[in-house]
Amino acid sequence: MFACIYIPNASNDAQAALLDCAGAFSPRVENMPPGAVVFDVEGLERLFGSYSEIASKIAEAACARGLEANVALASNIDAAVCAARGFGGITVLNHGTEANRLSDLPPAVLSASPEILETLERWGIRTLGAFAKLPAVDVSARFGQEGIELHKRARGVGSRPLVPHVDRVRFVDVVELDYEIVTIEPLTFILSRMLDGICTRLRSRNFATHEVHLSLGTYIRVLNLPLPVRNPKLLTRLLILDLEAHPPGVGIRRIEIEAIPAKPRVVQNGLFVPLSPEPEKLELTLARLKAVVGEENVGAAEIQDTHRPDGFRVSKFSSTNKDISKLDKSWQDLPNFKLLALRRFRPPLEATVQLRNSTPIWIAFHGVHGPIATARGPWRTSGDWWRPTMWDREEWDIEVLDALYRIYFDVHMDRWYAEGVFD
Amino acid sequence: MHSMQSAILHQGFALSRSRSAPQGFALPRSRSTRARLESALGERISAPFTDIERRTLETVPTGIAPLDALMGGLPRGGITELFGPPSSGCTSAMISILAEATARDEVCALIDGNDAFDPKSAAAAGVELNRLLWIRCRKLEHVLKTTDLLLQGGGFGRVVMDLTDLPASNVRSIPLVSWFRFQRTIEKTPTVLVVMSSENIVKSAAALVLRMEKQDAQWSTLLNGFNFNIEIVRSRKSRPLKSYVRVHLHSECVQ
Repeated sequence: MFACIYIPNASNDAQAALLDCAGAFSPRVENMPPGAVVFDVEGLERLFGSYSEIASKIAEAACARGLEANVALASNIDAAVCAARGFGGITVLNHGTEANRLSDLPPAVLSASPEILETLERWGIRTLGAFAKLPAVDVSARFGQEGIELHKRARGVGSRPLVPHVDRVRFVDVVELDYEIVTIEPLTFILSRMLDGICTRLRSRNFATHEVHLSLGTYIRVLNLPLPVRNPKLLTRLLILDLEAHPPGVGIRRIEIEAIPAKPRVVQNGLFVPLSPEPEKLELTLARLKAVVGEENVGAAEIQDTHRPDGFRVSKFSSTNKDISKLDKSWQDLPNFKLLALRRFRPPLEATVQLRNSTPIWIAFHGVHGPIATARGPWRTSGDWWRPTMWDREEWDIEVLDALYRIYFDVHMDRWYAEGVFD
Repeated sequence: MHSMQSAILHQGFALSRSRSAPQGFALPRSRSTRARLESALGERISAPFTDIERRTLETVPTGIAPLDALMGGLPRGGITELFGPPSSGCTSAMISILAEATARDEVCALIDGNDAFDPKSAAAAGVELNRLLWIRCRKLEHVLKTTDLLLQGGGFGRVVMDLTDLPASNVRSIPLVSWFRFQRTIEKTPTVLVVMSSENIVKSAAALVLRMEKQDAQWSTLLNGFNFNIEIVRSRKSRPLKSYVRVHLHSECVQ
């Protein structure tokens, strides 16, 4: 037996209240917005008595939540929904009487598409009884699969299973403090205890988390992890390192932690897996490194799509990042590694250069000075002329004091710079 | 004791020469010699021929073919030091080592002492940048602290410390005990710690020390390439008869 509670023109809040109301009677609740919920009431007669009494109890519960709802009980879901939409107050359809009881209701209670309702209207079908009398084969020929489903509902013989509504579980913990905390150290113990509880709850539902929201009053930090974890010690350490790098700067009275659930990582290790750090350990190491040298100085280099010299950015490093295009390479295809490397001076060092016949013959910069033994160039490059960050330069490769440097003349700045040393 | 040592050394030489002899003759002779020596040393040294050193002999290629042919590569679980003046080829050799490792999907780390690493050069030479953790430092204390954290964290195939551009006086002041601590941390792991500097600083803590030296440069419109020598200054592995190799580097759009 199924019960349906229906409110015409229900708002989101009313829908949530309906779910709450249905949840008080059964764990198997199907959400059918807008304005309807269906739930399984089988077995409730032992608690509340007959089906009429059950329906009355449901109506009372809805009324207690401020909902003026229609309540209908029927042996199948579709009949219960149609009855709740069509009849006001409380309706109980006993098994076998569904077709008769629904026969006077208009086709609108079927939740059909506007096109089908319009067609039925043109045919002069005004009630479910009239629709039920049409031959099923002809309905199928005209309306297809949807028509067959509607025809079954009109005859009160729906047989679809209930699709339970899964309520989103939140993994949140809140602590209100009696007095303000102004340093990070005492926070460690509180965060550790809170995360212990959250991780236990995650584990009990076979979840992990890849995103942790920490609210310290109005100060909010979000910890994003490259893979789901549920190790409370690791999460505590990462949060503390993050707070040390970004201190809240205010006293803390209220602490709220929410972990966003995610499926835990399942890894099949192998004997021949290449050497890489454990992802959880790597996260901790990266957080510690960022605390030492700064967040912007730790990561993987990413070359930007530009001809600008030294065009790169530092992106977040993860050992699980792999270039898919290179996964099936064979070891025989390894590239030739004997390429010349440049060591860059960041920022480029301003240089004093003497020229003869437009060729550099002497240079001085940052402790290096002397005659240029060999100079080759210029190699002119320019770009981004439409932006303030444009560049226009003439590059030279030179040999000074037995070392090989790249220098350039910045046309716009009218200055020489040493860019790097070939090593 | 002196006569015993000379006997062992002499025997070592004889054994190495006997490799060319027919096996049926050489092996029984070496076994009997080994048994005699073990019985002679048995009271003072237990198991004198156990393969303690063999673990450190596992090597990984550098990507520099002549060096790999000569040495077999870099010792895992040990420190390798590359040193030389500017333009001696240290950085190119380091990039070659990283390219070789990342091509085999190992995760590597570069501790850049003076933010001098050029990602474009590295990518052109074959380094997979998404497998390389780059830490840009400016101070020696940051370099040492970072190295400690990375080695303790573990799991990296190669960890490169680039001390080249840091003031020589600071680099020289790194106590020897620090190098031994690093060596101790990685000795039972497959990690290779590569130290790059302008002079020899790791001393006896290094399993392999290579001195780099620039030879001649080739020029065209710009610098076309240059040759450099790699000299094996120190190796825990038995030193080969030839102790240096010559490598040619060429330019390919380093911009």
